[in-house]
Amino acid sequence: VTREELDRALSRLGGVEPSPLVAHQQLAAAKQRLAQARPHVTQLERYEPWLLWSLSGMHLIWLLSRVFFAL
Amino acid sequence: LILAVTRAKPLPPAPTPRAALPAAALARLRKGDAAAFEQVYDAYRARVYGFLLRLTRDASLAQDLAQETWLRLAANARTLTPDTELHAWLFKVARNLFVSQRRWAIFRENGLRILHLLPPSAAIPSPLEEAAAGELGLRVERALLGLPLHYREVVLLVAVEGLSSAEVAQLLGVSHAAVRQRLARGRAAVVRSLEEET
Repeated sequence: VTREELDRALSRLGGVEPSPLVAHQQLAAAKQRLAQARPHVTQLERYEPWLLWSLSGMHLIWLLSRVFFAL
Repeated sequence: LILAVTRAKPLPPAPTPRAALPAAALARLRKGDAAAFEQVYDAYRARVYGFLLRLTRDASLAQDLAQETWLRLAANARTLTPDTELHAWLFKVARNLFVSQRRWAIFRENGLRILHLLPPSAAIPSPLEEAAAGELGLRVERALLGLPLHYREVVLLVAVEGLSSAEVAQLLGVSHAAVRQRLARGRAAVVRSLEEET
């Protein structure tokens, strides 16, 4: 058997189909997991709202304190 | 069970082994699109199952590992990078699952055979027998299943699944030269086995 003949025979092996029932179950389970998987968010995206509210709150307190002491 | 079989919609024919997946499918998959996932599943289900079947030499184990591979893809779809080579990613996950289950195989029935401590069974798993085209196909399958694991996985990934040796080197975490060497030795062992048969 030459190398070319062997490579041809190997490349012809290809994939093997699972049974329709197994394939149906695999796909259904995977699609369910896909629906459950939460979108990927970065740390910054996760804490951004908290950060913005904290900064806004601190800024507001600082402004009020300025007004209070000015009076 | 019968109802589930009859209600299961017929599977679309699997594309040829090296059919490329449209680039847009990966982009949609990264957004969690179920239709894109189905497209990927249709394109690769036979390849992933065939790869695992030849790696494990056990149809039910290959089915379980294929199921887990698809669940991993579903769980990680949104974290894939735009340049992910999906076929290499799937084979890497499938191979890693096989490697980790081998660590626990000793405690299970048939464990010694999976760990290759016993000689491989001469019988080809029936799904491979059905899929083999002709007498030569069967002989090559038999010779392939008799290869030691470290040669078999390289021959499967390069010669059967069409991955480049650079991709396989990255996937297995070994050098390019080691992949080439294992491939050459694996091919030689298959040829020897075929010649001994005749």
